Amino acid sequence: MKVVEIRNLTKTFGTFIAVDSVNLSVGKGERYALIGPNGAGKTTLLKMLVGLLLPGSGNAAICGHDIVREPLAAKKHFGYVSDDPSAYDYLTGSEFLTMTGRLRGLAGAELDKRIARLVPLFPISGILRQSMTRYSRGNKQKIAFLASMLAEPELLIIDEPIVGLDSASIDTMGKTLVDYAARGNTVLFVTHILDFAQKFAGRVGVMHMGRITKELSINKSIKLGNLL
Amino acid sequence: MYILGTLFRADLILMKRWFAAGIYSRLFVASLFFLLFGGIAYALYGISNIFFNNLAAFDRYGQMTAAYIIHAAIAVVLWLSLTSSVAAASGTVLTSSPSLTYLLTLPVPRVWITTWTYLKTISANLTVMLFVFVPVTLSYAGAFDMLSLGFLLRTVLVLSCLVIVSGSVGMLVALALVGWLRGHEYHFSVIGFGLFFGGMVWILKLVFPPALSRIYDATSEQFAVLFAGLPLNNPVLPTFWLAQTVTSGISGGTLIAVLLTAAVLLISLGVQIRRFVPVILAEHSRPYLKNLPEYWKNRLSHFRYPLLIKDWLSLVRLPSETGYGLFLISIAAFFFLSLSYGTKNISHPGNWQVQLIVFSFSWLMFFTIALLLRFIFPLVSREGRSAWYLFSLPKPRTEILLSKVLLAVLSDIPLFLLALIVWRVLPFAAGYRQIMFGASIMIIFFLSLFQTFLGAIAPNFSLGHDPEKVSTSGMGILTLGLSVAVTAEACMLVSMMITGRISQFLMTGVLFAVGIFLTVLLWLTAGKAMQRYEW
Ligand SMILES: Nc1ncnc2c1ncn2[C@@H]1O[C@H](COP(=O)(O)OP(=O)(O)OP(=O)(O)O)[C@@H](O)[C@H]1O
Ligand SMILES: [Mg+2]
Repeated sequence: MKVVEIRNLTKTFGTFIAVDSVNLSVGKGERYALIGPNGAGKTTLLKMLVGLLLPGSGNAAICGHDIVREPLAAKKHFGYVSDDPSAYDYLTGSEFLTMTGRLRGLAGAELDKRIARLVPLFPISGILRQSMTRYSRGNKQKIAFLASMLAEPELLIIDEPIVGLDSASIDTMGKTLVDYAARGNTVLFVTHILDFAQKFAGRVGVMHMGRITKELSINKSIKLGNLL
Repeated sequence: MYILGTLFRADLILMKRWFAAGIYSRLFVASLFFLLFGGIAYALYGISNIFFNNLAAFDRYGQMTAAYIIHAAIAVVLWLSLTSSVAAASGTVLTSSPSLTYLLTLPVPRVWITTWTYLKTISANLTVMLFVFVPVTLSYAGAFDMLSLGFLLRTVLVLSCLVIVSGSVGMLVALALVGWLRGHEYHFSVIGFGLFFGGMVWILKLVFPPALSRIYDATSEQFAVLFAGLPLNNPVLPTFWLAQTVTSGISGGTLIAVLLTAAVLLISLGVQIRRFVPVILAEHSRPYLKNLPEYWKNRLSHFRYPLLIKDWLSLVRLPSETGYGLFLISIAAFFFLSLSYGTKNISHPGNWQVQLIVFSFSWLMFFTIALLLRFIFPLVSREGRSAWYLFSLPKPRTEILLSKVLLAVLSDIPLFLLALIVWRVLPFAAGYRQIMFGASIMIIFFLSLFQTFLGAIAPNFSLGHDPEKVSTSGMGILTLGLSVAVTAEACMLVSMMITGRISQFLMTGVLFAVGIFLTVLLWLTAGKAMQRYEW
């Protein structure tokens, strides 16, 4: 059973076809990157997958659970970070993590242990007790990313993980994704930075005008730069 | 002057755009809005009509008492508009609006930015004031045969003075205080709340002194002495000049009042032109509020009921929300306190109880609807830009809705307390207190459910950061309309009950049945709509 299984998924806004019968399957342990120009439909595709948009036609399943018929079962298997990682202004970063843990059924010492393990990934301990109102974009991104990993879901779905991150954090982000997948999990992300995809993805799908037009596995000989 | 014209034109274009996006629905919304305000104005007119006609039966003394009431109203309104101006001006200075920020990046002289902001505030305040005050003075003039163009113009003059003075002073105070306000919003809202309430009680004491109760049984000579001795009839009070301008015509006092207003305006404008923009800029460069105030740390941070606690924190942690909530509640309390003072010693015509009960009930509901529309209706929309987080979590959407319902019911508690005060303090016949308290609780409860569900049917996530706009959007106005309709139905039933046409049991039964029916209907609709959210 594939972790992500998308069949002929389509989404139209009025007469405009944003996602045009996309087929995609991603297996356990894979790191899959979607690349493509602005407006290609990458965000729309991910939003359908995580239940923020209703599919027009076609279907998709996560760990065998259809996203329309069994949305809750499907949602238990992934963590998601939006391309606009805004979260609740009136909470502090650490409260946001605690709340996310609670909402995903974690509590007590176990939750504290997981938070304590995740936080040191980025140099953010200094701002954890501040309200998120004034977090810079990059710091919002980091907190939202940590929150998505908190319950250790089998699948991470991240829309533009490195927008707004400094170069050290980009490296950490990439390595964290690789580690996460190495533990038998799956990572699906969108990026505009070909270097990042080249370095940290295992497979790349090129999206253009709502379709996945090319798919290729990354190895040393492939230069993504020549591709677009 | 040219720049000022451009700024106003920009506002006009914004308004045109608003109408252009769906002209019919927008026209509908706008006309509903006017209908509602018209209704309120008409209700005010009707009530004061009864009141003043009642007084007119007492000839000259009646007229003197009525003039006194007008003066009292001016004093109260002055205090209200002063305090709300200070609050509003502090808000303007403390929060940065995107359009103002943009304007500051353009080469526009600050004189015009300041004047433009100020003129907009003043004209908005004057409009509201006209709506509330003119019905009262109109019915006064009608009752005592004084209606004329001159009377109307004098009323507008006096109101303009009130609005300009309070707007100018409000800005001055806000600009003076802003240095200390920064980072202490909570402390200041508590202090401000105390000052506001203290001032209110003091004014009420001034308006309704013990001597007033003796006036109704006084002989003519006693009346004259008692009346002249009332604290509010002191001829050196500026409000006395303003009241005289309305009730008896232009005098020397009017001139002084107008000159004083002009002086305050000029001083305030001068200070604003010099200080407004620098203060706003300083505000933008202030260091971020570091940690949350001590008393918020770790409270509730265990998130045992995560959704509910999150929503609760979203209301209480934003100073603008808490402040506005406190303000509305205290205005309501003030209103009913003055009503109870004012009605204590009045002569009672036959249907007085009916009028008083329906009047108090409808005002209680008015405040309820205002609060709910501002705080409960936008609950779902307020998820705003963070909605991606909530709606991609493995949580059933019904559970999310349920947490909003729970929060709505929790937020009803201050309203229940207000209802308790109303039905205890006012001089109602004893037999009605309990049933009316019960009915009020029930309607408040149902209204809060309706508003939660209606807010979930077509939430406006893109306006989530601005609950004010959410409640004045199309769906908000629709919700307002439904709430008013429910309230009107309740008022009708209540008056039928008091006049003995239906029993208390039947009234409660019908209210309950309608409430349950609408709850189920809206709940199902909202539940279905939630499954189809696209974000
Ligand atoms: N709610 C909507 N209504 C109408 N059109 C929409 C809506 N949402 C997205 N679109 C359109 O669908 C297209 C695909 O948008 P999408 O956000 O998926 O692109 P993207 O590949 O993520 O682009 P980017 O690289 O800029 O993030 C765009 O042309 C966008 O304008
Ligand atoms: Mg995108």
